[in-house]
Amino acid sequence: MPVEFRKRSVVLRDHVTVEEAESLLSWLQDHPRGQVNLKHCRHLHTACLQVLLAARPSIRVMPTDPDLRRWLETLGPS
Amino acid sequence: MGRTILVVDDSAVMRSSLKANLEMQGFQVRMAADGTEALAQLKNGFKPDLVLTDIHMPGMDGLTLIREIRKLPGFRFVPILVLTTESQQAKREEARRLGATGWLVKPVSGVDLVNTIRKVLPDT
Amino acid sequence: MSTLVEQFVVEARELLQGISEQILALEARPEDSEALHELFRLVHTLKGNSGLVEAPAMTRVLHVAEDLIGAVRDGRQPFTQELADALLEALDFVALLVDELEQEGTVQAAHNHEATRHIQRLQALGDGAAPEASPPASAAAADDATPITLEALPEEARAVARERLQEGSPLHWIVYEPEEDCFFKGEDPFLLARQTPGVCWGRFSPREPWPALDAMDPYRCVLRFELLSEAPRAALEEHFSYVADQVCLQPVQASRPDADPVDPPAPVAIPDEAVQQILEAQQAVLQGPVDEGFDGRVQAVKAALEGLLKALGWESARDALEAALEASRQTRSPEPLRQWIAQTFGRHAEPTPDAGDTASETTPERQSNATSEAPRLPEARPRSSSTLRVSQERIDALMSLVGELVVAKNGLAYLAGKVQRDYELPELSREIKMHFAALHRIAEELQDAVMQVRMLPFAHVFQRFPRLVRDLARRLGKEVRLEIIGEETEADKHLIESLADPLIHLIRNSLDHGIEPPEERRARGKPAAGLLRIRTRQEGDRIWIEVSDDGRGIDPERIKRKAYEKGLVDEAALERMGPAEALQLLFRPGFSTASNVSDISGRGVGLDVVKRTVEQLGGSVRLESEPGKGTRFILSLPLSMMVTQVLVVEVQGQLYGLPVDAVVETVRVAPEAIQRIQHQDTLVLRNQVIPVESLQYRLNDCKPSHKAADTLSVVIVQQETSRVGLLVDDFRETLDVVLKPLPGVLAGLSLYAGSALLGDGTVLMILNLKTLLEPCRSNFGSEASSSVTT
Repeated sequence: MPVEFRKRSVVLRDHVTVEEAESLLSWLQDHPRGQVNLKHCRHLHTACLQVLLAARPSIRVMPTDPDLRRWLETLGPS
Repeated sequence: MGRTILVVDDSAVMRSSLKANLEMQGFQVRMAADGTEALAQLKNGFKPDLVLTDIHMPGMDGLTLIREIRKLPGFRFVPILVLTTESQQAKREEARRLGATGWLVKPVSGVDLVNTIRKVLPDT
Repeated sequence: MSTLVEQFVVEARELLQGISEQILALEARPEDSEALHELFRLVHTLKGNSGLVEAPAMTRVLHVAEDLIGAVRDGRQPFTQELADALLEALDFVALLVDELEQEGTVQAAHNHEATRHIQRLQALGDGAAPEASPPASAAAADDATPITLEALPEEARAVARERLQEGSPLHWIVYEPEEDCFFKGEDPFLLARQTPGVCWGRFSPREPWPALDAMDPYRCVLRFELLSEAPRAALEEHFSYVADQVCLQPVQASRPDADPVDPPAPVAIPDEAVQQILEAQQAVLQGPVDEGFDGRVQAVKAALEGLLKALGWESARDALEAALEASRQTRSPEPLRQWIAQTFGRHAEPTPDAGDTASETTPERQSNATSEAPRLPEARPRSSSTLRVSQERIDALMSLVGELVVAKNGLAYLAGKVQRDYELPELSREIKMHFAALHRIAEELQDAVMQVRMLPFAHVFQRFPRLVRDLARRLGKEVRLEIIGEETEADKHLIESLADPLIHLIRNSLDHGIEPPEERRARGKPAAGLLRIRTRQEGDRIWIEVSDDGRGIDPERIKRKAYEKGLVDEAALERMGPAEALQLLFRPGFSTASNVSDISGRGVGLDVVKRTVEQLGGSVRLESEPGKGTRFILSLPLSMMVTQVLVVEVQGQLYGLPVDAVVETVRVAPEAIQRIQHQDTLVLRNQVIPVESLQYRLNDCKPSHKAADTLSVVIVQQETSRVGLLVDDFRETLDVVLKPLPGVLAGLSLYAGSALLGDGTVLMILNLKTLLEPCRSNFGSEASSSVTT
């Protein structure tokens, strides 16, 4: 599964599709302090990217995929 | 995990040419000869990662197919590419307006195919 | 031939057929918009397909045809007779190219001239209906080509941009603002941005402040992407072509405003088609012979290519062109130049990245690569899972294997006999016979199955007829309505295909001689348009085909007179001949009713050829006519003809096969039963007098040596309307054999219909009863089988 919701974090893997945007949004709404693990994520659809940008959750692990990592640097753990 | 592509074209030559090309790129391919057949497959639970359709087809044509696909609950976001010829500028725009993601210009080479699909399907 | 070409050919023929049908439909009803749309679709599909095979001449013609039909469809152009003619002729040309493609695997460049002729004709008709020109790809983006300076870039991007500019790369600043509803078109702008060619920097930002999460619509795209790319402008335009209206593409300029622009001026967009035409013209020049004009011609080609390079902005390829020209001059061969063209322009008139090192690679073999680009395809996928397209060769191969199986199976029957006879092992013999029976059944079913595969509907040949009738009628100034009934009737492929020519001949005959000109018809109180009807039906294992017209009919007296004048019949025969019989004279070789040989049905082929062909297929043809009312040809044919059942008979130790369909029965009679009446041996069988012929006499022309046997073996055969008894030494089993017509010289020995290979390897001659019994029929007409009262 590209998206795995855990107790306190969500793990995004491979490519996260447009269909996941809604559930991702509602999970982040329900878990205001929830963390995001992008380690094995290689691409996430624009819709999901928007959700992350709007919710600004803390990113626990940045992607290992170098290209995606570069793009998401602004999101990076701060 | 191979991505699945639905190829819709009334020409068997075009279909199998695309199929061969796509399979060489590691895609799984299903085919339909017109819009009605394609729509029936989608309604039957087939969920391709991409739909590749011709415009002119007997029965349900490509433009109608695009409109119909976008009406199906599970297919609001599926990328759809239309196969067009050089001169079908107006058709391409119409297709885009109706919800197509992009187009390919026939004859479609393997390189064109890969480059275009890379733009709409991640990880390919 | 590659599978792709094979498939293309099959499909192209279908499409061409459909196209011609629609054109004919439109001729009858120009306002038929459905036919028009279908016509457009078919031409469009064919054009698209033609791009898959190496046939630019075909694509060009179809392209123009499509434009013209498009103009008619859009109401910019009326559908005229002239237009129909031009289209049909252009499509005939395309059909010719398809044939060539099938035979040669490619289309010769020599057709370009002819293609151009058709194109010009079509274009002349379509004048005023300008083709739906596609604006150059760069048009949308042309406005934003004003350069952006380094300073104008966001700070984060500036360092990267400066660095790249110093390296001398052309650099573009891209701002991409996707439509809000783009996700519902399957788009993923982030993906598109990530995949941008040559991207060296990028970021995204919201175009408006983010709302509270519970008010957020994740499916409304509000992001903006900003990118720096060092890819050529054309590649970027191509990459963003679907969203060209949402993208702003600007070349990045170094800070000093007086510095040379980094980006060279964008080359003028030249349509691919123009490039292709220029290249084709050069190829055509290069085809010329290597004579004293050679140097001049290659020089001219080089000049044209140089101009093309300049126009395309590919001047870096000039050195290689120069080298190719030099090589061509020195070797006095156009090959190096051709190579250069192939390598530089490839298939889509695009330069290969390393066109520079052409000169070192000018090996002739490389040229063939151009055609092998298309990948080999897997088996043709049918339109739906219920049909499968299989090549004729494969079916034929399967069929001949079935034939061999049938023959090999007969070997078992032979073996069973041998075991019984020579080794006296009845148990084993019985067992072999059991296996034989099982095999026989399977072979029969297999044979049926293959026969089914080989079945084609008559539509396969009939579909050409509307066009044929139309063209003929126009040429003859006649009006003809063609009615086809039963085109769905199926028969063996070989039969259907073999019947095409005879049927065409009959159609020609009807139009030429049967149906009168409109004035004459009106004068006779008939509708101006003649009716030509072709009708097929299946009855049991026979196929009936009728070709009838309501024309002037045939006068039997005139036929008789003609036949007499031509010396085909003598006076006595003429006297006896009834009208129905007289009509059949038309089938005699050397008979032609037309007083002067027209170019339509008088091509040295008479109705005798029709008759011969039909008879070769195991059928018969009959003619009926009523003067003033019309003429009707009736063909009757067997449904299939793969395996012939023969009765094996023995004459003087030799075995012969008699086709079982002709055998009525076999009888053994006492020698006294055969009596001589009027120099003819006869046998009275169930109150019928049957003439008896000795097969030995017929075959070897020597007196039968009636053995002092207790019984005589007689095979009663049916020959047309009469029965004949054939005296043989013995009869054996019936066998299924694959009849092979005799080759070469032996074909003249028409006593035999052919030969067949038996299970033990011997060759069985199959008798041709018709020729065998020819003389005895004329001596002893059909009245021989009249009843006798005793």
